[in-house]
Formats: sequence, structure tokens, C-alpha cells
Amino acid sequence: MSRSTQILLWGIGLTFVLPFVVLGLWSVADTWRYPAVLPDLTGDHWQRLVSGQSLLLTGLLRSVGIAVSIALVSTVLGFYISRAIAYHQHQRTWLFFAYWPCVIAPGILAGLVYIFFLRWGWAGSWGGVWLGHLLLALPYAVIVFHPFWTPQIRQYEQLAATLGASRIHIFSTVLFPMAKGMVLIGGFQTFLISWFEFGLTSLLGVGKVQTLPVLVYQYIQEANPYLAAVAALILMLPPAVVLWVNKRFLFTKLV
Amino acid sequence: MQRLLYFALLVLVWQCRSSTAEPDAILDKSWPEIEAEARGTTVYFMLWQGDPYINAYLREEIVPLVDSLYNIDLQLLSGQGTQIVSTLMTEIEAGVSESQLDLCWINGETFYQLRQINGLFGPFVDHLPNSQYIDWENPFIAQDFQQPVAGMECPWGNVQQALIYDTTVMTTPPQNRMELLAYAQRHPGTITIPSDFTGMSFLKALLVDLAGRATPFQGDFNPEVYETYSTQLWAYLDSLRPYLWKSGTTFPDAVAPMHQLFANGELHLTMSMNDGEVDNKVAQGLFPESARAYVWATGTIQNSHYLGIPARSGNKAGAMVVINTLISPWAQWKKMDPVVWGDGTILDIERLPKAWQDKFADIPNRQFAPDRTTIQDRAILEFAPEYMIRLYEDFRTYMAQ
Amino acid sequence: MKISGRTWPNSLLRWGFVAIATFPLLAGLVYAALYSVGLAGALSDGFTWRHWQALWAEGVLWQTLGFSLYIAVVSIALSWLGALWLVWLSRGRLQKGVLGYLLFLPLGIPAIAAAFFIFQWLGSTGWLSRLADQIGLIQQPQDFPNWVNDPFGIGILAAHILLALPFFTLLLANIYRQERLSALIVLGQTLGASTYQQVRRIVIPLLWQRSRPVVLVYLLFVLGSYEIPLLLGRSHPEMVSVFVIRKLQRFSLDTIPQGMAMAVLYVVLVLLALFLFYRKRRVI
Repeated sequence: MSRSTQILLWGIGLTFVLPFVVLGLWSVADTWRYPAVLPDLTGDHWQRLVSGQSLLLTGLLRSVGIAVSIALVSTVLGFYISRAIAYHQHQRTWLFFAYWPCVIAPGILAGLVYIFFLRWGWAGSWGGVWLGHLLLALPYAVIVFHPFWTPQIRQYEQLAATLGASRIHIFSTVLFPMAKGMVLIGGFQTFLISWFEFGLTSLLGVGKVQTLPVLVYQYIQEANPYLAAVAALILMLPPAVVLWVNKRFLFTKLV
Repeated sequence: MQRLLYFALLVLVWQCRSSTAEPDAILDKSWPEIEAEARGTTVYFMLWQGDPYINAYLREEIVPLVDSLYNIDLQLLSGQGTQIVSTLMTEIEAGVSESQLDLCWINGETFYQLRQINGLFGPFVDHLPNSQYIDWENPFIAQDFQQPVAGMECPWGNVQQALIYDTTVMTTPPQNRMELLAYAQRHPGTITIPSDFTGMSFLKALLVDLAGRATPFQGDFNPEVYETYSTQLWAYLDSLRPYLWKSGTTFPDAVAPMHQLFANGELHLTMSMNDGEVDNKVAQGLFPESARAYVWATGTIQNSHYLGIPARSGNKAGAMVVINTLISPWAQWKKMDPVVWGDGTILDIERLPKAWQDKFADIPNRQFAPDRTTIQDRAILEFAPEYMIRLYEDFRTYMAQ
Repeated sequence: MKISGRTWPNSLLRWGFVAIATFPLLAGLVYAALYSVGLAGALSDGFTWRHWQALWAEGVLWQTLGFSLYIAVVSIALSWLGALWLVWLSRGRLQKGVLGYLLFLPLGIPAIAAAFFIFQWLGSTGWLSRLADQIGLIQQPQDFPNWVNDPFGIGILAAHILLALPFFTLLLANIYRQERLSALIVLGQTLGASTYQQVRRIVIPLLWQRSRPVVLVYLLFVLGSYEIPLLLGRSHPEMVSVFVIRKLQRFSLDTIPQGMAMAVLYVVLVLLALFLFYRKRRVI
């Protein structure tokens, strides 16, 4: 690579840090009037998070709770379902349906199912929002895990069965270890689907289920960029850290 | 298989249309009984949360208060008027027996729409002990958008629309539509109108200015009056458009972003449905101390905001107790403090016990907002709700497209 | 024991899954369709095409769909071409070291934060405007170019590109290595292909061929995006999600059926696109 190419690539690379810088500044700004380039600093906004004065701490805990449980459930279910699909002779037809919820805008999907959620008393509750998230995350997990079930894997499974291993044994000692990397990726990505979801949460949650993305929007609406920035950063930091540990986690397997 | 699916869907949709709410026996109960029933319950209160001061007042004063008085868990939910209407309407369509909401902040056009779909519970206001102090003589309180309140919603606060400018930027603020146009021509891009409730109320002020008086807009909705003056209004706005913010091609969808634009100097004029808001925005550090609110010479809308209880609320007792607390002298007095919220009271001060009269008299003066008594003669009574609904729609059609 | 996909637990899993994935959507679609022609809803008064006609007559239908498609196509095209350029310049060596980390970073930014950032960065009182003011390029915020809530959706495009450019760069770099493009390029060079020919005849066809399914899925994703146009868009035209949710939630009750009609049309079009594409290709 020539020197100028490298400079260019670095320039573009550093652009991607800017969101963290700009939002970081807002999150520690006391007042930041135009045209000041840098704000007066304060730690108050982060303090509010830690002290639990604002809705941020509860929002954070709720978001973590929903996203972690969604990731667990959709990964485990998605793993089994993708196997059931992959072993069917018309697997492509079955897989087609998994794409449906993935290509429809979550907000519009929520608008369409809202009436039924209300009818069954799920709207405005944690359970309802959780189900809504599962509607998005589970099909995605199925798509992610589908390529794992190659004929070769099936042969391993067959071999283990012939050697007398029980069904549980096959899953725990043969299949899961082989799928470990993929399972981690799928788990993290379904976590992110739930962690980032805004439109569906705000509709099905009727304002009662205040996850972090909902809070970001709410703070922007009440012209409070400081707390909006804090909430946005809390959303952005876990992925950034996980990325440092292993980049593969973030790269979608829809490829 | 496909037929079966279709049939299942039909059944599902059919089911959604049945079942209605049952009448409530709560209005036959005495107040102590209602209080007892409310104790230890959760009340879901949906309100406009576009202002940090209002949010803080409720979160830090009212929520702890009803908790300590009645052990009520008051949950605040974010939602504007129209969102409340659509939430309640979808619930009616879904045939749910218990609403997501127990209490909501409503204004004229929301009141009108909720009455249309029978979405409100009542009349309940007379049952509230504190309602004895409400200033029913005042037409700005007893009528909501020309509709009698009739006990179906309880007054909560009274405000007048004000314009806010910065004395270091603007020496003589515009006093009518022609001066506004002239200012915009001299300083293009510094004036705009929000596409929300506040903006529509400003359009009403412009209609009154165009008509030269407010009388045509009193009473029931008159399509001819609307046609005549709204045609003039769009013509006026057309002449103003090129000088508006972003050349009038887009409009802020709420006052909060508009305040931000004003604070940053991008706009020279912002507006508020609360004449006292400027004080708390200065205290908050958002506006400079040179910011001032005023009511322009041709007058602005004065109205009240109300509290209503959805017909299908599962906790009407709790909602009534919370409303009674919200209209108590203490809560009204606290709310009126310019650095708390600065919201006008709906109580008739004269009727309060002497001690409370003194406390209301001692509320620190507004520093940056005009005195309420001086703007009263520039107050315009709200128009019938249909005007608002038409303005919303036509503003989008003529201006925002 | 023979491992088979045709046991009853597998059938249950499959059918159960298809029910979860499709039934809520289909049920909602039927309800919305009925609603849009006045056969459902509290204010419905019998069958009518009125709401569809209103959408059609005001031109809102095509403006909304057209604007959404414009945003989707332009942001994906720019991101894909930008990614192609970066991959070509770096010869596919992008994933290593700190630079690689930086490229991955935007993949962990939620859309709502990306939109908020673009507003605070490109807006007329954003950071760039402050810097421009500092060095004397502009005197007041009004002088700063209109990049947010603007007629061309520049802010919306910028936010989408911020998220999509790194994604496509990583995708194309992956394919570049997997397909051993460098070897093919060397081969091309020995056969006397010019740089232009190498890119035109080897790099673009191969990368496009392999990345097409992802491009389509991402395109549909942008088409339905909500948070970004909600914060950075204008009152008109709106993108599909913003339009539908506003009609359902924020406006006069009489126009809810219009939102339902738009939702029906959008879902049908997207599923149709998915179906056509899926049927044609072996792998999506």
C-alpha cells in the first residue's frame, strides 16, 4: 500500500471514532452553546446514571435483561430449529419463511400486530415487548445457524448415533462444541437485535417499557442532548468492547 | 390448509370487534371509599414529556407525594395527545376490557376526539374534594375549545401562548403578522413555525390577526369562516415562506428542538404554549438571560390543559385520587413557581383559605415572562376543535409538502 | 438409529417456527387490509376505497415509496462503491490491527445513536458548523449548508452510509480474500489487462456476484428504516416506516386507514421482492 493510500484509510478509519467523540463530549458537557467548539465539562450526567436519579440505570438493567434472555432463548431454539429445517428435503422452502420478519421494518411489523397484542393483553408489558423481540431475533438465529448443518455434520451425528451415543450426548459433546464459534456469534448478534431495537419496542411497549433506545429518543425529544448522549454511549460501549475481544462477533453471517 | 388459515384469521378479526366496557359503579361511592380503594395501586399516567421541568415536577414532587399519601405507584408514560387518542381507540377496537392507561393529559382536540369515541370516564370532577376551589367562572377554564367540560375532564393548568425573543438580537419584536413578515425579510432563515400543537395555536393567532377580531371563531365550527380566513392564511404564509427557516421547506415537529435552535442562535424567535416557560428555560441554562417572553399586540390563544380518565381504565379510583392531589392547593402552588414549571393555576385563589391565598401571593415573580394580568386582555378564547384538526391537516398539505 | 429430519419433534419445530415467523405478520396484514377498506376499526362505516384513493390522489403513495427507494438505493450504491474502492486500494488487507478494529466499530452503533450523532455533527449548529464558525468560514449557523432535515435526505444518507460503508468494506474484503482475487488480478496482469480492465472485468463482477444477496437484504433493511429518517428527515416526503407509524399514532383518527393501506402495500412489495429474488437464486 502506498503512503497516501494508508493515510486515506486511516482518515476513514478515524471517522468511525467520531461518533464516540462527539457523543462523549455531549455526555460530559455542562452547557454547550453555539458556537463553542468544546463544552464546559461536568461529570453530572454520568453521576446521574450511577446514583440512579434518572431513568437511565433502570433502563440499562431492563435492556440487559431483555437482550440477554432474548439472545439465550433465540440461540438455543434457533439452533434446534435450523437443524430441523436443514434436515428436511425442502429446506430452502422452509428457510424462506425465516426471512419474512427479517426484511420487514420492525416498526411496521409492530404496527400490524399491535391490535392482537392489545387484545391478548401483551401490549405495554415486558412480556409483550419480549415476544416482539423474539419475533425478530429467532428467525435471524435460524438463518445464521442454517449453514452449520452441512452433510458432513450430519455424518458426524450419524456416526455418533451409530456408536451408541444418546441424543443429549450427541448435542452436548459433538454438535455444540463444533458449533461453538457460530453459537457465540449468533448469540451476540441476537443480543444486539434486541439491544438496539427502537421502533417495535416503543410501539408495543406503549411507552411503559423504557429500554435504552427508547430513552435516547425520549431525551432527544425533551431537548436533553446530555442524557441522550449518555444513554447512546451505554448502548455503544458493550459492542465496542466485545469487538476488541473478538471482531467476528459483529460481522453478520447473512453473508 | 390455506382455507383453514383464512378462516382462523377471520375469527380472530371478528373477535376483535366484540365486547364493550362495563359501566362503573365507582361514582356511587363516597370519597373515603374511593381513597381506600386507591391505596397501594399503580396508576399509569400518559402525558406529553417534552419539557424537562414538567418531567422533574412530576417525578420529583408528585410521584413521591402520592406515594407517601396513598402508597400509589404513579408511572409516567410519554405520549402526545393524538397518541393517547390512537392508543385508546385501538384498545376499543381490540375490545380489551382494561386500558393501558388510567390517567392522561388532554387538550381540546384530544378531548373532542375522545368524546367522539366515548373514550372518557365521567362525569367525575364533582366527586373530587379539591374541585370546590376550581375557578369555573373563568371561560378559559370552564370551556375547552368551546366545549363545556361537563365533568368529563378536570382542569389542571392555564396558560397563554407567548413568543420568546432575545433582547440582544432583536430590539423590537414583531407585534403582528406584517411586522413578522418584515422581520423575516430582513433576517431570512431566523423564523419558523413548529408543526405541533404550539404551531397550530400560533396559526390561530394569525387567523385572528387576519380577521381583525376573534369573534368569527367563537362558537361551533363554521366551515365558511374557516375557508375564508384559512385561504388568506395560506396566502400570507406563502409570502412568508421563502424567508422562513430552511426556506419554509421543513418545520420543527416540536417546540423542544425549536428552543434548541433558538438557544443556538439559529432562530431569532421561538414560542411556547406556556407564558411562564421562559423563566425555567433561563434557569435551566438553555436560554440566555436576555431572553424575554411577550404576547403580541393582536393577541394569542389562552387555554387550559386537563386531566382525563379513560373509560376502560382499570384503576379509576387511583386516577381520581391522583387528580385530586394534582389540583390540591399545594400541588398547584408548587407548579406555579416560575423555576419549577411556571404553569398558571386553575384554582380561584379568592376561594382558598387565607393561608393559601398568602402563599400564592408570595410566589416569586416571573423575571423574564410578562405578568399574567398584563396579557389577559390579549387573550383569545380557544376555537372549536375542528379548526385545530383542519389546521393540522391543511398545514401539512399546504406548507409541509 | 438413523438421523432423520422427518421425526415428529422436527416437524413440530418446523411448523412451530413457520407459525411464529409468518402468522403474526399475515394476521396483521389481513387486519390492516380490512381496516384500509373500512371493514375494521372503531370508526369504520362499511366498505370503501376512499382511503386508498386519498393516498393515490395526493401523490403521497409514490412520493413516500419513491423517497424510501431513493434513500435505500443511493445509500447502498455509495456504500458499495466506496467499499469497492477501499478494498481495491488496500488489496483486501483491511481486517488486521487497529485499522481493522476501527472498521468494525460502526457495526456496534445503533441506528438511533447514529442519527443523533449525524444531527450533532452535520446539523447547522453541529460540530462541523462550530468548527467552520471558529475558523471564520461562516458567521452564523444559517450560513452552514443544509445537511440535516434537507430536501435530498443528505443527513439520512450520511447516517446510513456511516453504518453500511464499513459493513460492505469488510464484506468485500472477505470475498476478495476467499476468491483469491489477488491471484486472479496477477493473472490478468500477465495477460496484459490494464488497471481499468482488471477492475471492470475481474474485481467488480466477482464481488458483485458474491455480495448481491447481502446487498438486497441490506437494501430492504434501509427501505424500512425508522429511527434515522425520524430524526433526520423532513416533514415531507417521509420514508415508509415514518409515514405509517405517524399515521397510526400521531394524527387525526380519520387517516389511520391510510397508514394501514401504506403498510399493506409496503409489506406486499417487500415480500414479493424477497420471493422473486429467493426463487431465482440458489443461495441468498
